[in-house]
Amino acid sequence: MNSFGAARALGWEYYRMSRRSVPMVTLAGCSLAGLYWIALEPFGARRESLVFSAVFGTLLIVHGMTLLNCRSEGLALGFERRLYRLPMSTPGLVIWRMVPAALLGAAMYLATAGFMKLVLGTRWPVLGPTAISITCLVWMLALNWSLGRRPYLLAPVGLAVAVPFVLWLKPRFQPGAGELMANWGDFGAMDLVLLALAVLMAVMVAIVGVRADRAEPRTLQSLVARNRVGGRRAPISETMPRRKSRSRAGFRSATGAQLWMEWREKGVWVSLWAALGLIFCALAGGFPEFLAGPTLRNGLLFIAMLLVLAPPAAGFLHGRSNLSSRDSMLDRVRATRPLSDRTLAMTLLLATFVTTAAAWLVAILTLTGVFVVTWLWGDTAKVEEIVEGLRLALQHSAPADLALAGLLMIGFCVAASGLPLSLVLSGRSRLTEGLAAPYVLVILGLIFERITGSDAWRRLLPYPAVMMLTMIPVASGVCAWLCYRRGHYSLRALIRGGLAFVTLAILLVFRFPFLQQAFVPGGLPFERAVAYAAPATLSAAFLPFVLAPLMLAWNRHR
Amino acid sequence: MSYPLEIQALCRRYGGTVALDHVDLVIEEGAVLGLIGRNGAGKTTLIRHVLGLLKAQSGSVRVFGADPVKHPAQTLARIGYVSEDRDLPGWMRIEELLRYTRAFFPDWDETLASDLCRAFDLDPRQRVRTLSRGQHVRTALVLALAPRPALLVLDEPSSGLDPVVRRDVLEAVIQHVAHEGRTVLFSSHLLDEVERVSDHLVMIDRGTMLVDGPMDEVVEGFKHVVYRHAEDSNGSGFGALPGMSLCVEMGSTSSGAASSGAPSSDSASRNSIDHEVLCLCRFETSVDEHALAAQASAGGFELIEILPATLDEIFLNLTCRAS
Repeated sequence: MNSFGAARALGWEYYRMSRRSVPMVTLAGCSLAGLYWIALEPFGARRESLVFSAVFGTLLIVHGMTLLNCRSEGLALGFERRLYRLPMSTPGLVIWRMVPAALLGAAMYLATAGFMKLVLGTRWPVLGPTAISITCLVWMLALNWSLGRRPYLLAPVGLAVAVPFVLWLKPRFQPGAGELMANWGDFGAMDLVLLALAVLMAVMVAIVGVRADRAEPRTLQSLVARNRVGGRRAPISETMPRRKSRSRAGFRSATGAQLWMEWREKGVWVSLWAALGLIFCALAGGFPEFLAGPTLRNGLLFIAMLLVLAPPAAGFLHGRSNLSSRDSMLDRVRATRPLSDRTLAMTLLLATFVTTAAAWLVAILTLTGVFVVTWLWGDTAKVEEIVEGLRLALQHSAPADLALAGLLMIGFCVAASGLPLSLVLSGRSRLTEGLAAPYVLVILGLIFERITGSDAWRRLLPYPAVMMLTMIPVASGVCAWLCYRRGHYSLRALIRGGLAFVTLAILLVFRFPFLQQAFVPGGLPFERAVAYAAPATLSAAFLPFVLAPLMLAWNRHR
Repeated sequence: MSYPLEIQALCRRYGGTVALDHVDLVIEEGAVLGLIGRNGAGKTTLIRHVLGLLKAQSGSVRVFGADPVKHPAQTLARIGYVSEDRDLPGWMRIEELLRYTRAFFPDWDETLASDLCRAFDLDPRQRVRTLSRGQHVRTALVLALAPRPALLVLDEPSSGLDPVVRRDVLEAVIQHVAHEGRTVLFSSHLLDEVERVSDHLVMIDRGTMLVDGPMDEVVEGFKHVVYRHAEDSNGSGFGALPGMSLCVEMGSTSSGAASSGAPSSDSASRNSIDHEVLCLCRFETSVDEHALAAQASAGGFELIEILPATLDEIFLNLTCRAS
């Protein structure tokens, strides 16, 4: 195979793998950046902080998608082993896998920057973040490919690589440096040379790692696996001391076993992604500058964004059996479990909640860590002010209010993770791609607002909320009836669910008087949309429980 | 009475392609049904209906009397399944996979699982993705047998495997049936394997069932027949003789020269005076050579020889004829 032909073939394969996800990821990047810019600026976030967050938020999405494309099996680490069969040298494999990934990552970032500049007229840094994007990406790929068989080394080696990078990056985010573009404008030839050297190092590391992986016997265990015990060849299980496995004791139930599988296969990666994202964000800003004054607030906004993004990410991941194939048909192992459609759907739903909860826990722990570090070495007064504010807010809130606020948060978690899960569980890619529709609406709204200069979009915003409020209970009712007809739920269970919904809705309306404004005739101001959003969220939280079994059955029994 | 598997008038289309066309099938308890057919014949589609992974577009599928689509938990709990694909989760160790699968089957036999692992030389600490194809099939077989399923479904488990693994698969199936009287649906390309383990045969091609019957009856019922007919008669009436349900012409010789590709017997070639025809015939009852010769003679044919047919020959001739 000649080198050019091989490069073309690998590039084409990469394009085929990502041709559907690239537009969606780019759209997600654009909407994230746009949302940061338009939605959060009025809340007082500083321009340079917004640019910082949006740039890194976008890069995180781009890198996550690229890593997903370059994985070896499912979400496993390491180089794609099937490529080892190609008659290509290891450097060829590494380089021709890295190049399309880096180009694609850079192109997606450029698309985001172009969107910000052309549509929103914002000065948006291009050269610096693009170069950094490529550098980060090739290093992430190099570490992933080299340490695939030794994942425990990933964190220390990653940290060792990140620290010098952060030290180089840190001066560009000095608080109070004014216009951030000025910093990025300083990005010169020397910086480019430094980053090019870093890229070269990453390529070398990847080549060495992949070469070792390619030449290595199937597992390290196999080198020592066959020992002679009592004159016969014994499997390693008989020659090595047994390590306690968490699942050794067995599972209490079938759903427990399925939950364990879902967590091990997918859930743990969402939490890891959240943790890595937060650590990267914190490191990139650099302690303690990152934690000072307005930047602290920006960091909190980033964490808030993570809280919002984790549920749909978890839903999407748990809904898909096969992450590499476009066809998201339920895989044979899951499909042939002796579980009813409802039980299997509920187990997947539960796995999604567990994953979301874990990602949130990571975010909360990181937030606590940020507060502690800031209090110790950063803006102590600011932290004390926030803590005091929280204490007063808790003091003045009735327990019932807190309970209902918690309920709404759980409702949001269920709706935001359960609805994507249900749609993805259908195994119909068109329906899954429909998930991009809200992003498209946001982008169109932004463009419309920017072009016309009017706030019509903001005034229109409550109407979709009203539609949602109307449509979701109707959809829930239809799905509940279908569930009953198909034997997923008994009539008694459905009546119980319906009663719980009505009770909670009445409780909400009477407990929070401001919600009653939503039903006052007249215009629909922006603030009133919030009033609609609360019951809409609650009703949306009921939908996955009746939608998921139907979608799963549609996919499982084709 | 509910059979382990009962399929009635099952039809399935993928766009314009007919995958299954009015398939009727019943497996009795304790039977080993061999399902054979070419690639794309509809075997896997049929099995996917049995597992409830496909919904019958028309007709019905019942597994132990229950619809596998409406009652997946009830039916799948009684089915052990080995797929032709490497579809076990690669990240799991074998011991984890065993523990995971055990949770779904209340009748899981831990001793049997351990014994089979030992017999198949499977290392419980090994990850599934590092297993060879043979080890993968053996692992899948352990997972399918350890719950002691009432119905074992094997979808071409031994394709691409070496003789040792194929022997393991067959022995496991035989043991499963012999010791426990369980039912097996065994799909394979390897006809000698099917002939060895199955007591009932179903041959399927392009979604249509060509043969359905007890293995002995099928093999006994098909014969190679060499007959002669006069040059001026067209010889088309031979297949209409009483007791014969099918007659496929495989070749003929005229004036001593072979006229078509299928092998003709030596005797047929030697004695060719007018037209000698070699055909594969299916007889409804056991063949009485003298009676058949008399009937043939009455019809203007001279019966020369009746030879037994192998399953290979039956399969090749019927599927080639169908295509």
